[in-house]
Amino acid sequence: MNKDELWQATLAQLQFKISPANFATWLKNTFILSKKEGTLFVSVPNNFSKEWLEHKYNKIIFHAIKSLDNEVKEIRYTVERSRPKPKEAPSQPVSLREEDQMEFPEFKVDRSTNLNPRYSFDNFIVGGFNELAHAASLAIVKAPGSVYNPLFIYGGVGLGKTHLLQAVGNQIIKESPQKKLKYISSELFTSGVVSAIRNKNVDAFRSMYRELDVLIVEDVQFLAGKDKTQEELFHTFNTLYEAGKQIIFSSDRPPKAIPALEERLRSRFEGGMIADISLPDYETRIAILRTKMQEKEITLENEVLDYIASHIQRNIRELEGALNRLTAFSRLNSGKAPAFVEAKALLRTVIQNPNRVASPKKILQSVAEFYDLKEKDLLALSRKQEVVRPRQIAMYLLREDLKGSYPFIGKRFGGKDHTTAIYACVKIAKELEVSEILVDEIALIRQRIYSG
Amino acid sequence: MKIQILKESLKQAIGVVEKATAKNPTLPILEAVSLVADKNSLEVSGTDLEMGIRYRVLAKVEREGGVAVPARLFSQLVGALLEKEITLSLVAGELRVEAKDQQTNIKTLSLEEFPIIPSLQGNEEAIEIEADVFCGGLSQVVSIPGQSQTRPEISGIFVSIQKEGIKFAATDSFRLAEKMVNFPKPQSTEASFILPQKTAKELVSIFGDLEGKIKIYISPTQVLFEYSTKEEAGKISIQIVSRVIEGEYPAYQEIIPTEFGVKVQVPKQEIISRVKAAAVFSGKMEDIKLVVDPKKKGLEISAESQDAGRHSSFLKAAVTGKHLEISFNWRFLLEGFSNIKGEEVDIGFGGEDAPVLMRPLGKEQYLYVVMPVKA
Repeated sequence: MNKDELWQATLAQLQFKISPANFATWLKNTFILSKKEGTLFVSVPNNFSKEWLEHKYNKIIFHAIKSLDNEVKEIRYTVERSRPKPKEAPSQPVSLREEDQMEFPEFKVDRSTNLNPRYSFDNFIVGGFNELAHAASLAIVKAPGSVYNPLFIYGGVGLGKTHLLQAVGNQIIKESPQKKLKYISSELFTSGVVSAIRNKNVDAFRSMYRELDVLIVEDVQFLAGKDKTQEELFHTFNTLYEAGKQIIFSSDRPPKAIPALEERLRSRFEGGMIADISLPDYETRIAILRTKMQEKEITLENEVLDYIASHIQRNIRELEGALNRLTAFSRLNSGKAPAFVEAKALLRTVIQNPNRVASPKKILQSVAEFYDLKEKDLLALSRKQEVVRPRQIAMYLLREDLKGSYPFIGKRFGGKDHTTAIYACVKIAKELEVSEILVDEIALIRQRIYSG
Repeated sequence: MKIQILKESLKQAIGVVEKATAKNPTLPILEAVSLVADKNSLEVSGTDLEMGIRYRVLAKVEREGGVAVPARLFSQLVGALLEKEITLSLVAGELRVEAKDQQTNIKTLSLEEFPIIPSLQGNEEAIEIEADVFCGGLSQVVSIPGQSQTRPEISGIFVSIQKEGIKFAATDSFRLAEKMVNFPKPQSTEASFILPQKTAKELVSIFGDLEGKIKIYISPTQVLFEYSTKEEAGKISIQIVSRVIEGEYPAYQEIIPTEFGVKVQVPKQEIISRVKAAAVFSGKMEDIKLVVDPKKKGLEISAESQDAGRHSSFLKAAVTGKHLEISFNWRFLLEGFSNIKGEEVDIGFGGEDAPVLMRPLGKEQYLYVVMPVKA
């Protein structure tokens, strides 16, 4: 019988000897901390419980435990300082709606975990596009470290990766407040490594990460080319993984598509569960809008919702941005929601953003960024493998998305022949039929092009 | 149990202890106070399991013993009695209260069920400070904490004991107040804890007007405040023990702005009345607008409401920096000004969406930071 079971069995006996009110008051949130040479250490939530258990219930608790575990000679009660549990507080008065009254930015995140408590599963909307990632996350919350380890979530900008990861973190902390958890972006991790090296306290840096129960690292694609950081992450990963601790990564692309990533790290990323978040379908976009509407206490006509959902397709953050504009309008007009015509005018700048129209420049830029190349590499005459393929993909996109003519495409790439362009497009199109990975990559690149 | 006691002493004791009792449907004993007589004193105590108060007064004890009685009922009764001297005795499970020709029998609760209020362990760090200095400082920040669902740490007041003095800080994430009070001479204990707002409020109301010193004993899980009078005649001793809020208080110093593009110095009373006038016309968001005008050398305070109308006033003031328009929740603004003791206030602005720092001119060590409302 382990210590939790022992305590459960003890409580089961005690409940017949103590009135329900007293039982609930004095034995709530108690548990066995440890057992050392016949002394059992019991954690109690406060000094009142400690006094009460010591003076009033010690005898019956001792008898109950003794009958289950003969070795116990003495029980000691200690008040543990644990992470505080959030209390249910009355909701804030209307006048303090956060979008009006600004908050100290420092307060939005928890310093020890880096989590923003606003992200939760309650306001996370599930649709076909993120079902798998959501289900995997929930499974992890139930049993961190034992089901999908590591979990690798990837997907484009503004689709809810951060929301999901933070929700996992918040939920784990809520259910087991004693767990040590850290949420960190790759960039912060990198700068941590750098300053640890500079200040010569690499050991302290390592031990801080290696004591964690849950580690969440965001945007690991930024680790590309940072060898020392990759090495640190690799070792941290191994330590945590072997100790059965949960690790979660996110990225804007699958591990295979991250350039300049050490093979051993890549294979670690792929070793657990990989889940993608794609684009939400129309129905999900409507559902998201409706949830946000409730949060912002605004009602919009179905026609307006339909207009937003059918024009903003690739980014949930932009959906929210559009809704914010309409909310601001309605507040300025004493709560009157904008009609369809007004809404259309208000959203013109959001929807007809020149950024969301593809251009040859934009395509080249996005492809280069995605493969961690320079734009001019794509246009140069190099035949290196790592340049050739991205170049072909760029050509394919110019053809498919901009309907560019082959001679135009050829010219654009440093005066290549139109046959080169034809060859590239056919090759990529063919490969798309067989390679899921390529389908993914192209989807992610398109995401960048259209949501930039 | 049988004792004789001065009605005034008992009334004061019960009045204080009653503050710690609580309505609790699952544990009705928390609505009671316990009365325990031993040697030559009576100890009245009560608790809500977050804080506990023990109040000891002199009494002539004929028979030692104890009892628990409903707090409100007992305090109403004692308040209504006219006699100077009363006798309390436990007779057949009831508390008999006798005052010359008035007789009352109160149904009691089992003292066995009464919670044990934690006391000193002996290993706490202790400091001593004048009661009115401590409570005066505390009272300047006590109204600030917010009931944050997600951050229980900031639902209390951060008390940091340093060598030279005690620093009190409180925030609700929209504004922040910090007050420092000094010891007459530096001492060696350094400690900090987060005090629940309720305890802080009761401390101010119980100790605020008392002469003499309080002792503060700090342990990792609880804090105990002790007050006792020196002279034997009418000797009382009060102990207030409270849990401390667990967790780490945010590094609030990072919030306090240090660079200001615009600075204004205004007379406190003037700006308070102008803010109050504008507040009448603030909208649903309770927002009022300040315009700092370096050309006209002053501050325009205005508000406009869809339904009520609009108001604006101009206050001459010393201004440095550029023109700035910024909006605030008037309650937050007013609370900052009202907590300042001095007559002149220095206001430092960083920009229309940056926190604003308010400080009294002169020696008073107080500061208030507030975030604006989005225009």
